[in-house]
Amino acid sequence: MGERIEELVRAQRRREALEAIVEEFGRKVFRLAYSFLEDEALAEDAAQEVFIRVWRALPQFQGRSSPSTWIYAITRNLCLTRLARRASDERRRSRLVTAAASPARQAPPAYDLEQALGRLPPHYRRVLVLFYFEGKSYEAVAELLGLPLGTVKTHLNRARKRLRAALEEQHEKSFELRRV
Amino acid sequence: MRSRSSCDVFDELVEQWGPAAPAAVRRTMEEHASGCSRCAALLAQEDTLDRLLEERLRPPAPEKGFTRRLLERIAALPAGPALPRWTTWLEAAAAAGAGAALAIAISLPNVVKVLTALPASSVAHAPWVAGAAGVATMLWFACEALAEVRPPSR
Repeated sequence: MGERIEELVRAQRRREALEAIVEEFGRKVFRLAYSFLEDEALAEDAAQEVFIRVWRALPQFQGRSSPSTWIYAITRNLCLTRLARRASDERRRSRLVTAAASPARQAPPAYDLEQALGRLPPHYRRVLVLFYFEGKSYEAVAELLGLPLGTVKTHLNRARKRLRAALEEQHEKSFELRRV
Repeated sequence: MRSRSSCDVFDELVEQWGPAAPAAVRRTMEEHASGCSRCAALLAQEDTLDRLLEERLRPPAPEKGFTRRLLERIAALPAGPALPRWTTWLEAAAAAGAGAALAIAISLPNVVKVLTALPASSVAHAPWVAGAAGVATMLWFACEALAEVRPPSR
């Protein structure tokens, strides 16, 4: 947290402190929430809830631990709780999985990335999504997800391998359909 | 023809860096791929995938007015209990210690009264009993003080 924010907290200027925190962490918290919830409206609601929790805990914040670690941990826990609550929510699934059946003999697109992404395990997809959101920075993803750098690289590598395989498979199917 | 060792190095570079390969690493990969059809195909696949993901995974941003809406939500929250005065763990620990000392001072005359009424064989264990009681009292006060410094729940 910047010195300015710490000063504001110490001076008990809570509202200004919160505004400064939102300015610094707002986008990242929103993106992190989006990587879990995969819906912009839900991500915004979760991000707001995160900052309300931060607001409540601000008077006790001593600045001894990294605030980014603290705020991202709140975000992850909140999102995991919400995901668990709505495990069967169709809205989330429809964002990533294109379920529309292709008519017979019509070749599917060579690269149906949505479908391939939707088939990835959530923890691989999350790393992949954040990697691109954060300008291809392994370090930023590791910080946001609270994971070791090596784990982030491994997840990302496995996710890419699966995507390559899925896209290749789609490509072959498309080629077979065209031949029929 | 695939050169086993250099292809292994190529694979390792792809695994290690993926689409975030620094320029020097990327050059090494391209140099190898230029003479190796297998690795050239893999590099092309990686590039295609990277391009597709870049197009698909554009970072979303909260809608305009995010902070205003947040502050409105906060303003609408019911006023919570007065915030605890404790600001440091040190203050809490000092308070717990003071509380424990006070409790021992208050209870000491009664403890002495009880001990003097006991038979001599029981009194032999008195220091242990008093010590345990003191520790228990201090722990209780410490727990109370720590509960006080926790951030308020919703």
